[in-house]
Amino acid sequence: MQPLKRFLKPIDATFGEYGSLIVDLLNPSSTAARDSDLTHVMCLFDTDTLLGEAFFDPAKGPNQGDIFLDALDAFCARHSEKTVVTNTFYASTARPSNFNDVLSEGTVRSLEATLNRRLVEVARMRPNLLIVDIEFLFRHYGERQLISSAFWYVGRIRYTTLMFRVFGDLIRQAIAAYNNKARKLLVLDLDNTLWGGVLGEVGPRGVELSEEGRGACFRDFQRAIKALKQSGTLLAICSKNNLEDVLEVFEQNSMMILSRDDFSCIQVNWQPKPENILDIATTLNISPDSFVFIDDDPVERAIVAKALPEIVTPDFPERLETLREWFIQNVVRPHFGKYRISNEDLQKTEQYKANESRRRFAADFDLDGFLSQLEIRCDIRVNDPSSVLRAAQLTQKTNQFNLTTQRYDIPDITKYIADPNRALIVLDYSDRFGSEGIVALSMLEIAEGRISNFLMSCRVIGRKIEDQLLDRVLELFRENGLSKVFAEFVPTAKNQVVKSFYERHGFTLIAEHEERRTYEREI
Amino acid sequence: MTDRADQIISVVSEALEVPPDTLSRDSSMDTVLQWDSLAHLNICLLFEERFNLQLDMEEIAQATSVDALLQLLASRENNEPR
Repeated sequence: MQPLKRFLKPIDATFGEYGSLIVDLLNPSSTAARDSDLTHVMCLFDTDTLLGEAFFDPAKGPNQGDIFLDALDAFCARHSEKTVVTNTFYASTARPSNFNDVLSEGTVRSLEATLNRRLVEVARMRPNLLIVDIEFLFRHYGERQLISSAFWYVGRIRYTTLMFRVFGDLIRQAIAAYNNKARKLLVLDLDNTLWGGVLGEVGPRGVELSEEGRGACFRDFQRAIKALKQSGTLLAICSKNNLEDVLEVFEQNSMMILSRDDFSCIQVNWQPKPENILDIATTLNISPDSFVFIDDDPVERAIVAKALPEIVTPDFPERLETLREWFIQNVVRPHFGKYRISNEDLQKTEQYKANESRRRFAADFDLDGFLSQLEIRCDIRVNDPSSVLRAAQLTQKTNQFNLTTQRYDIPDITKYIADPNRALIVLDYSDRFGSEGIVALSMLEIAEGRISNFLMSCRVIGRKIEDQLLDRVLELFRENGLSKVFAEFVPTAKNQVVKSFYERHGFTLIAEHEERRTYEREI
Repeated sequence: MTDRADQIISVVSEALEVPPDTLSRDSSMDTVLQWDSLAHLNICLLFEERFNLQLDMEEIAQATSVDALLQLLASRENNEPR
């Protein structure tokens, strides 16, 4: 998700480690939980990721969706002062499916729907949780434009730049809507805006407004405006026309969707539009900074924008057939976006009750609870030749949880494990959601009693498995007859996360230089 | 060709958030401090969008300098789109 950073501006976002979403929600010392200056916490996850193996077979594979929702619920309850932003679950089409795979039982689509329903339930209980619907983006742009397999396999980045761009827009719009930043009033021109043609020339029945062709574009535009009005936005008219002509259109043209009563204020005269708009503001007692003005004439828009810069004056589309879509995408979503969880009906209230016990559990859900649910298994192996390739890779790629940041290539590691005075210990991680393979290792100078390298992939930070690896390291020294071990920390720009690792594990600092700290511990 | 080089420098500068005048045709992952592996993915993502093309895994792994990106772009412009 890190490429999203640029597209969230002006929001200044800090990103957690890859794959640490659930742990960060549950760990009281994560930045998200600890930093009281953070007003918003975003819990965003890629399509498919939390579905795990269930993505291919919901009947067999476990998925992390429910655990994520428990963690999210618990975090929202503990941090009611923060606004928590999350996205909906979305299962991509990259899986075998049946042609009738709509919402039948046991399909990925039904799993996705179940998780999303639970997400909405959590949001009903936790008013500080804001949901961003990413399915909207996939419907609008399509997966092929938004998902990138090459970047996924090269660097675990699921999305294209287009996706990061529109996702960033969507998040900003949703936050604005959630904070009730929506504008209040839509001011509309008439000729060639609300209908086609010039009323003064063609008369009230001659304007273009019909069920097909150009007239239908205007009629659908009116339908969209009507829907906006019904969701609580006020409408006004600002047009250079004769008032009697305009009123005749409302009375006589049966193709009009909008009626006179839909408009809170009608300013039809030959005065400059900025004056009329100020009159509307005075009449309705609404500040012009919550107005949006739609007019097909760029000159009128420029005059209004110059006189009243606080008003939004979006460019009118050049192609008439895009009028409704333009209105939804460029006017309604950015300026009149609303955020609201639909009203609960009786039946749903019953559903809540059924889920009461689950919620109570969730509020008590913490990191230890999560870790025990994960059923973590660590297979720790010493000098295993099959681990050479992955071990070399880990020493090359790991920057954060890396105590000495020594890089090795494959021949180095092969030689290392052949040396009787040395040992390579690797940790192979799996849990009920699957196997991560080798994620941590330590390299030991047995004869010197020294830990020369200790590192762990950031994908598993926060799961306390480093303790198991260190226990095995110390045990191996003991088996070799040592009573004291030495260890080193070499600070870099990126490994501050482990700067007190050895102190926390019972080691004592015995020497400190700028580029190296040396520790010892009795065993 | 120079125009193209400037466009690529502008992509790199935007992705790395460094001023374009600190970059040149010789800039690469080895010479620019901010151009680490994650930043490289950001550069490639932006490159794809700016020039409306899709990179494959090999290309992402290899195009780690302004010059390599320039050559990649030239090869795409001379060939059939993939």
